[in-house]
Amino acid sequence: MKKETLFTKINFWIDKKADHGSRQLARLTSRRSFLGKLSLSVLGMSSLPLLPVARSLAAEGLEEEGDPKSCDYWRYCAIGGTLCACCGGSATSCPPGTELSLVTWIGTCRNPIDDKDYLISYNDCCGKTVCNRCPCHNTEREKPHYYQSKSSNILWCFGTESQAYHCTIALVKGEYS
Amino acid sequence: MHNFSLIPLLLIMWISSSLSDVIPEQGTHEVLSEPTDNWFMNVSANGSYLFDSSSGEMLGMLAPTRGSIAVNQSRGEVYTPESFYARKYRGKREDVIIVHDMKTLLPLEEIDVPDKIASVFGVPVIKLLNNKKHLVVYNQVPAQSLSIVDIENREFVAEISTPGCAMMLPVQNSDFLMICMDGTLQMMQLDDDGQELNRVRSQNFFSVENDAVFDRVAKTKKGWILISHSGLAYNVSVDESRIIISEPWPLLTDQDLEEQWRPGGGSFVTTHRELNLAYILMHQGGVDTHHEPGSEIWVFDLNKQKRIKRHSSEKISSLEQNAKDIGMKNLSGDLQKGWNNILVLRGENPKLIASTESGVLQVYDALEMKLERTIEEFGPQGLLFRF
Repeated sequence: MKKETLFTKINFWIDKKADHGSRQLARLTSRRSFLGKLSLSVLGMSSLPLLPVARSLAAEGLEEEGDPKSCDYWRYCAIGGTLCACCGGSATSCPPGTELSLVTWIGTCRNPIDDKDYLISYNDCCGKTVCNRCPCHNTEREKPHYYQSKSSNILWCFGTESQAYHCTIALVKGEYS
Repeated sequence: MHNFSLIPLLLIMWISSSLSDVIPEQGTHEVLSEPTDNWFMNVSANGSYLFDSSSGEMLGMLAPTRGSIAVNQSRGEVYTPESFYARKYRGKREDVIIVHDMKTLLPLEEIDVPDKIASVFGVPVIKLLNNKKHLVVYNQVPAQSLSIVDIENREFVAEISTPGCAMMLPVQNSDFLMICMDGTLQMMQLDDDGQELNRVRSQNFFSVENDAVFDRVAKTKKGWILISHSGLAYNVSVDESRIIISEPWPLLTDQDLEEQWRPGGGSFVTTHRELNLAYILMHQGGVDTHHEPGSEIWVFDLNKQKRIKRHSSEKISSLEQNAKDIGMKNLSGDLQKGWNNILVLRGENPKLIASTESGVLQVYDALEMKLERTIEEFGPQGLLFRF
């Protein structure tokens, strides 16, 4: 028990340091810095919102249409899993009592409203059994699992307390250029 | 009234005397016989179902695991990976390799391994090496690594970091190949104790962005066959510490390309090593349709690197009457969409197992591609393994 508390403290300390470090980095680097691009295109980590490049690409004001409960919804072009929108969540939020995965895979989907390509982060929601509603498996630019960051065949419940998969959401991380 | 009261008593006495003539039955357990080439297992996270393809009968079941098995016939054991949570879906995680007895399908032992076993759909995450002594477990947290398990001594012996590479393709002795995201192969060589002895990287031979090789592969006489999304085949093998990669050879003719044929599906490629045959699920579609079910099964002679047969799922409707004639139920309309997984079994007269997502499984004579039977309710959709 003590061991777990210690680990929790260490994790909290690392999180805090990483957060502080990222903000420092954000102040010191340019918007189109190499690091930002590398992070966006390769790692697909959800810590990206901490970086300025991600902030500038926030989805505010994005015009879109479609049904988030439908596999045809434009953001789901490379999704693989069950849709959280059908499981008590939405396209951008996890259902009650589940945990948002901190590590994700990414896709690039075209928004039919403005005909632009956007980077989409597919975050798994974890900690409950699989929500077997609205299964959806799209494969645009999806790659085999040895290319981790672009594979939808992997359960992405990493960095979470429980690795049990429940469903998936799709977050717009920015315009692809 | 007195006479009536005697009736129940007489009835009980009559029943008792009748029962005394019957020897009371005792429940027993079935034990599996020696596996034949016709046995296969549908392995899923919701239970693994063992069938005899020659009779269509289910023989037994392994309790739910992660959807991978490794069969060790020489020791009469089956290995499965599992992750347990203290509170089913939450709480402390504990990963183990479960050793099952092949005859009783009972768990014999558990071998503790790092709590990192990967959760990937459609590919095995454990592999028994050719020395039959070591089992390799693929880890992903998401850092990629391998756990090496000593099967004889029932112990975890080493964790080896393998950044950027996945899959385990056993080659010689305790060596295996991995596929890497930079378009290369990596050979891992272990010593007798399961520790890393050497690792060798090949030259870059494919582009993961432009034409990735699938993470579904099949073993050949000398090594493995890798297929790219566009339909190029690579024969890969090793010679001591050297990785040998053939020039790519096309599965598709110019006309096939015009008609937009592509390989794809779940477990879409399977080989019969002794007969040098490869069976590949094909469909018509554009780029990124690599998970589409196959509407045709193409058979290739691996020596000649040439297609020798095509079998279409459209032919299934014409087989429906034939199926009814030999006592099968109506085939599902889903078959018209094609198959998702195929597996060719061993032996001189091998059978080909082909399944669809919605629960239809067919058994073919693999040489004639003649439908022999369908097996209904074959369990949740999973990976097909030889047993």
